[in-house]
Amino acid sequence: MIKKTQILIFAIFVSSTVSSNGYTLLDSANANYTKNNFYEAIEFYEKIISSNFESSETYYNLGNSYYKVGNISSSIINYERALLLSPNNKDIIHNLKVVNLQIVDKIETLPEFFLTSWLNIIKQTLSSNNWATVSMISFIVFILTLLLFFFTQKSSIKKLSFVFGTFIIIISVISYSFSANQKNIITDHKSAIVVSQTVAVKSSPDEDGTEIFILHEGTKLNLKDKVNNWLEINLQDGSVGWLKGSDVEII
Amino acid sequence: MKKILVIIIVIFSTTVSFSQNVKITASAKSTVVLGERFRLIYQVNTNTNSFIPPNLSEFQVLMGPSKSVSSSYNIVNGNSSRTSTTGFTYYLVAKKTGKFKIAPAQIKYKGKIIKSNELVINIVDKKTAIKNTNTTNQSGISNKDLYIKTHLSRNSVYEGEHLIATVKIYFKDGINIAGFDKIEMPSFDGFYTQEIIKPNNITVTKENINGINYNVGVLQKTILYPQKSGKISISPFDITCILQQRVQRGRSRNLFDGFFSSGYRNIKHKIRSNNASINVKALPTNKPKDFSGAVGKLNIKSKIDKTEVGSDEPIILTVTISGNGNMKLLPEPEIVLPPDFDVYDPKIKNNYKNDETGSHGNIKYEYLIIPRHGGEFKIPKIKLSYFDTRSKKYITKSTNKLLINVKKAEGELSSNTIASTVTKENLQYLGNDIRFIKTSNIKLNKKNDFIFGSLQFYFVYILSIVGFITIFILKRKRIKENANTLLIKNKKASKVAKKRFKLANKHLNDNNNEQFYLEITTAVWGYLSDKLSIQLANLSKENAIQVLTEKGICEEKISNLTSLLDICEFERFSSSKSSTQMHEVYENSIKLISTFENKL
Repeated sequence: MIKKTQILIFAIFVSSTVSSNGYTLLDSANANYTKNNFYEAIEFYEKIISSNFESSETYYNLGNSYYKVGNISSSIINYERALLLSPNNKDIIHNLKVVNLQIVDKIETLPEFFLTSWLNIIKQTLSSNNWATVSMISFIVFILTLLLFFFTQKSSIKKLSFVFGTFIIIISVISYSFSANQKNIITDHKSAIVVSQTVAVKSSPDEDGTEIFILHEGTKLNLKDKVNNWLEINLQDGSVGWLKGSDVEII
Repeated sequence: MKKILVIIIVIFSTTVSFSQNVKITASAKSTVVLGERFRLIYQVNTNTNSFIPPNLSEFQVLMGPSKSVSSSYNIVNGNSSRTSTTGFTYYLVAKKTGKFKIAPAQIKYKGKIIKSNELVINIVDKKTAIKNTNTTNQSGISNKDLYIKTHLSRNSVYEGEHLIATVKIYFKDGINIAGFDKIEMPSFDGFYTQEIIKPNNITVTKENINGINYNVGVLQKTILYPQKSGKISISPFDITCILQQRVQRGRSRNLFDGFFSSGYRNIKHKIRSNNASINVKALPTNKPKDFSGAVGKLNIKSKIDKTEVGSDEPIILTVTISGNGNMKLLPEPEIVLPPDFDVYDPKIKNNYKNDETGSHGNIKYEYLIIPRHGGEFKIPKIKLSYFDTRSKKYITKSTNKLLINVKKAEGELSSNTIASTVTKENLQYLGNDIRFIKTSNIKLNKKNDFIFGSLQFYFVYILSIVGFITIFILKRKRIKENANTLLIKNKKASKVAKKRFKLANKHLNDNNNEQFYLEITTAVWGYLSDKLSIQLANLSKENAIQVLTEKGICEEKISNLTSLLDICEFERFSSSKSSTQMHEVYENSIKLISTFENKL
């Protein structure tokens, strides 16, 4: 049992090690950023990401570089991506706030139900992988507790193990669902950023549709549906409409 | 050219040349403006190829000689005549002003050399040329005699670079200007202007223009700073002069006339200036961020009167911009002071002169600043970006950093004398910028590398469940086996008890009191231990009672058991040897065991 977990942990670790190439790219990108060569820095960061590696920090740094060269929409996209990977990072939130000051559209977010926001805060303290590990470990502990419960002679230990077992299985289930949820948020690609200067949002997925409202570069929106290359979107204030896929970039 | 020649040869090979008076004539404009392209044409009234060109080294030949041939064929009263002319054309540009002779050109015709006429060409300046085009007006004074002109010191400047516009009046001797009636000076639209000489006292100088002596007066001299790029034309303006003219009186001349009437009359004469235009080049586009239109050659310096002060003591910061350039349009320097300094609007001292070289001198900005708190402060470099017209580059000059050491005023610390009304200040945010990138502890991961949903992930769950089940089954099996041994013990329990009772019976017969009770107690305890599957060491009266009640033995029997065990304990060590009681105990215990045997 322990051996198998060790193998598993080892396997996870191996799969996450990166060729040193990625780190040298990262170093030169950071060096270029420090020297204010933002275009070169962008090139290096993009190279890392296109070689199928990522980290919250890389996206964050790339977002910074884009901001420095004045590309607001790309900057927001990368901050949002960074935020997906580490949702409660204060630096990312701060920079995103600063950049969002520069976009044209000011959309009021609907207030969240306080329980949902609490839940989100708890959920976002760990990443999907961390929650998965918590779930796995707590499940193993649960099984051990279960064995203790069944085979102990002493009634006091039996009682204690029952309480503890219930507690730990709840933790396991919750962290399982958090892990699934966190993964979904990242892999779903359910939000996008407007990249065109101005986009007219239509009432239906065709060119002749009535224009409902106008969005500008950098605005974040949620995706609901897709018809051909038209996307149905809704905004944080609840408005719904259709726009062309080429006008936005999916996070 | 060659083709033309061939064609010409084909056409004229058939023509019969007949004797005629061959002539060559040179013609060109007699007066040409410097730099203007003009034509020099030699015309020969026959067809010829033998043209010997004149010496044109004084001019620049743009093109030529190009030959052109025209021929006409006339029939007059039946007589046909054919004439042909050949032209040789030059396009020339004069290199300098002056009068130039062009020596005669020659052609050979039937062995004879025929010379053309000699030409004299007068090359003049642009300015003189313009005046020639104007016409005379009603007062009988031609524009050659009296005119005004706007001179620009340069034809091409950069935006913001200065140039001098001079308005001059030219008049010949014999023209008396009594005054000016109406002066409408040029408006200089598109320029920022700064007058140097104003038209109230005019000094007249002599100037020779194209061999003619003029009296020249400067009416106005202005420094112009173009405010936009492109071709800006200065529109002509009018001046009405009052001229004194001698009056010719024919008849009624009497004695007094000569004395009392002046013999002059004042006439108004309106003159209009020339058109002038200037090409203003736009500044290069690679402007520095802080560039705000300064052009010329400038320098910036800063100074503070003291570097060590107490808080609330004023300091004077002087920023001096000196040099040559569009001083009047210079923006106020941007000074970034530490935020808890109070700054007052600067006192500006202009100390520059305007003359033909533009504005030069310096401007002093005196700032009164008051530090409010103690500490070491730094006034950062003050930058000035300007466009250097000579090197045609943007140049940024900056002052040195200034350090100010502010000591805390005594009142600030000791709040004995002054009421401590220290107000806490909120952190002042000076700018809103993004935070710096992250450089350490970055771990790159494979994209979409999730533990959740991976095979390993589910494997852990399955493995632990499987592990649980196997352990559970194994353990159960062992318990079952354990349970079997207990069952055997249970079955054997009565047998063992019977053996003990037999032994007890023997002791009873022997009247061995102590051994008897011992045997009975061990028999009962052993029986209970086997029956209840509790190890003898763990067995006590209390847990035995508990288990027995759990197994549904009625209370009466349990109390019987306890009393029996109590009696045994008591009697074992007592000296009384009552055989009747021993019999009673013996029977009771057998009865009890048998009831237990039925119930358990």
